[in-house]
Amino acid sequence: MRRKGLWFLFVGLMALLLLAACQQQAGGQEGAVKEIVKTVVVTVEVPAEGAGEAGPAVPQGYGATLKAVQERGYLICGVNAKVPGFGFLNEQGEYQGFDIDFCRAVAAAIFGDPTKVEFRPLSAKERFTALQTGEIDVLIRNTTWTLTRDTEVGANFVHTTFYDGQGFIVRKDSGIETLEDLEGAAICVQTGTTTETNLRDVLDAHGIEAEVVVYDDVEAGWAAYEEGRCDAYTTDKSGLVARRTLLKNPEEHVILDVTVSKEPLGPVVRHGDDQWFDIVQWTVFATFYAEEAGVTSQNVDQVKAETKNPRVRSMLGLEGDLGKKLGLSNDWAYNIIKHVGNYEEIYNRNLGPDTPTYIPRGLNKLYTEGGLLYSPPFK
Amino acid sequence: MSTVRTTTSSETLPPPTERFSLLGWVYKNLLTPWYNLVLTLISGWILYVIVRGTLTWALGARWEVIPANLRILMVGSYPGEFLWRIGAAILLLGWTVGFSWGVWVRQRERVVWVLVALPVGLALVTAGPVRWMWAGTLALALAGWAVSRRLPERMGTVLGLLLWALYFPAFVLLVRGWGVPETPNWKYLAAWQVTVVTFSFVVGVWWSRVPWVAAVHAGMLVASFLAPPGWRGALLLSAVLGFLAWQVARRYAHLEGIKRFSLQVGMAYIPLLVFIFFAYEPLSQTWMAKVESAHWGGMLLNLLITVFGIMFSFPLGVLFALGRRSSLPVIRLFSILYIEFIRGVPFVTILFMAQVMFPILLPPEMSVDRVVRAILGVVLFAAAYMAENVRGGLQAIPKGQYEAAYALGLTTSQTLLLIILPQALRNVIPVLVGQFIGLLKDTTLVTIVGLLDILGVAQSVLSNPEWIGTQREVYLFVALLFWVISYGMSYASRRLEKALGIGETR
Repeated sequence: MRRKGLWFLFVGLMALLLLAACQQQAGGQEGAVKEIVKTVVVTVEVPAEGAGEAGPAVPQGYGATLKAVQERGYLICGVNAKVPGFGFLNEQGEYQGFDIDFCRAVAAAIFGDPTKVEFRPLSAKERFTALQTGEIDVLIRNTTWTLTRDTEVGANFVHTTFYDGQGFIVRKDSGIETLEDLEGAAICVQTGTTTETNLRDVLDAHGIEAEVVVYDDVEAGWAAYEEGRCDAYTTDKSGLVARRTLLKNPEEHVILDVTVSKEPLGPVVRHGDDQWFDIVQWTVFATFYAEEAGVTSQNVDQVKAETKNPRVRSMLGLEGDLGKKLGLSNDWAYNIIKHVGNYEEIYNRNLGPDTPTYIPRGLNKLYTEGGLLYSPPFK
Repeated sequence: MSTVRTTTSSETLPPPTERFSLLGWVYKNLLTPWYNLVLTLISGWILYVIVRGTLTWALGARWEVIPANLRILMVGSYPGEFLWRIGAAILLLGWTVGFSWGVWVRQRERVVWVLVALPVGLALVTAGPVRWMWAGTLALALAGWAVSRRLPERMGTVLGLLLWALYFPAFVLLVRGWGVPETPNWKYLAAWQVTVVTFSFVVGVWWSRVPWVAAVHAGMLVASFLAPPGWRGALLLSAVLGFLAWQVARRYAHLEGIKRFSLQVGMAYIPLLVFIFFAYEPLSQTWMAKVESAHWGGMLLNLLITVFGIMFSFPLGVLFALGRRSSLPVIRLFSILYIEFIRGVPFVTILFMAQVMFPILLPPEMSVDRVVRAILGVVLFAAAYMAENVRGGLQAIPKGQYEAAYALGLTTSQTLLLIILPQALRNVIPVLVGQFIGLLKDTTLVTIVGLLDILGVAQSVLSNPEWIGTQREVYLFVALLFWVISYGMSYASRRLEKALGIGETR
């Protein structure tokens, strides 16, 4: 009997070694999470190709997603329910936030009704699987656009709705002013995110020896910073700004004037359905262009009745058939603006100066005001 | 004649009565000798610091975060218009618990305690429109208790088991609601099932000795293979369900009062048909509209996963425990492999497998609900541990019990079901309850895979700009809630042990 047990142990060990060897071949030095995502993608592509002809329920190919959504009667949107300002559950049990409003905008474009959307709260690790397997139609969950994610993971990033970048917050009296001053400091960071890898990359690149303290929970990390267990906290600048107002003495903390990463956040769709990609993309553009043209949820009816601007007229469906080209009704953009609002309204509602999570618009201004928001013409 | 008085020296003196005085106690225990004084001072200071710190915080804490978010902590994003359905499920629970209390416990003084504690507890943890219900729950529980005490004992047992068996489907139906089936002739199919089951039951009760009814069921079974595709599954199902109902009816046909009961079942048949044809569809669009599992959250989700985890992992665990002791090598090897594999893997890994890998392994046209996937993970995980616990109980049964059972002419399955398992399971009740409590607490891990259970909702509340920074209040509330429920479970198990006489010397 004892021999048998040992034998099992041996087989297990061999299997483990084999797996470890495979991973080394496949991956280089990437994190374990990314490995899993990769394995996942490799496995998913095999059955998907085989079953292509049999009419699978997972929408594939041009127009399949919109058809599936319309038949179902509502949109399924993958979200994060734990980011202040971007997505959370309010006291009435409804989702609220910047990302949530873009889900509602897509629903308004398709159904003319911003409530026809189901939210699926997803963890960072399962979000791409959920998109891959057709559990959600669109992923709007503060996801950073990177080349790997845009290709290997089988996701298509539609457009950036929020330009973010990683920064550092420190105590004013710590004397830290530049990246180099972080030498020997303890830096708190949330684990399993691109933020953590960025931090290590930056420290390596500048040859800075600092202690990286990882926390699984955002709140725990901030608590550690506030209690002085860390000299600095690093995350996206939007998060820093929003959180600084909630520290005990906000004026004692300062955000360093360094941005160590690009974090363009925006909606993500599956590979393979260009019509669906266009719908989500032009929903985003409609919110941009509405702000540029001064159309808001308040005045959209008036503008519709009076405007002579041909671009606005075609966006609102008064001229041409732009909606039809997307496979939607011609008043799709009108519905977005009427029910959800333009970009400025969405921004101010969730991240504006009147909210506790105020973030200055920075790069997220229209190109006419020095920002990066630029919508192609509605022709 | 003088009587000789016994000398007082032989009188035994009573022990000196120790007069208890607070000061004396303090002096004796806390102040002398000198090292006790030092210890008292030190621990007194530590106590003071802790209590002062706790009180200062507790008095200044933003407790309003709990009442403001109580509803979502309890049920997540469950739509407000359907909250009454969860209320109805609680009312039903009150009735079922009251009924079973009358059947199985029967003492008057205990029932009052538990039946009052239950709705008060529920009132504390429920919110808004559900809160008024505690009075209703209390009333229903007492009514159930009163009714069940008047029933003949055997009848009460059967009805009690039936109530519990029906409660869980009813609970799921209430929470989930229903949609209209896509099959065009579903009304006729449903009516057919109801007809077959009802008549099989009634016939079984009244003519329990007539064996040819089985031939009818067999006929339906054959017909199901010849029928057009739309009817095939329905016929097969009705053959199985009808046969089962008939068997159950025959089995209990001798019970007093069962004939009257079967007539009541027969009378329920007409309203049931009316319901299927005229009420189901309108209801599914109004009161009983489907609430997708993405909306099940908060404590509701934790309890749901726990209850289903226990319900399914328990029988599975018993099977694996028996399998591991089986003399058939294939079954034994499979059980050992399963148990050792699952026990060698952390729970979080299994949850990740269920949420992330499992949907990829499925063929693309199939999809399994996320909550169901989580429950699946919990069941697979708990079953392995359950198996080992049950095996412990099995090994404590002396060999003589098996031998005696065989000597009486019992078959292997009879030996197991009637002799071994009742004793083995009785022995491991404390361990099993410990595992159930652990399971309840483990369900909060589903928050890592993105489900909004009570911990997930708590984190979401902390992301609400209005409530950022209230993690101490929120987490303390969650901890207290879990403590209350866990302690309730362990209290109930101790009562059960006492009732079964476990731990007493045999």
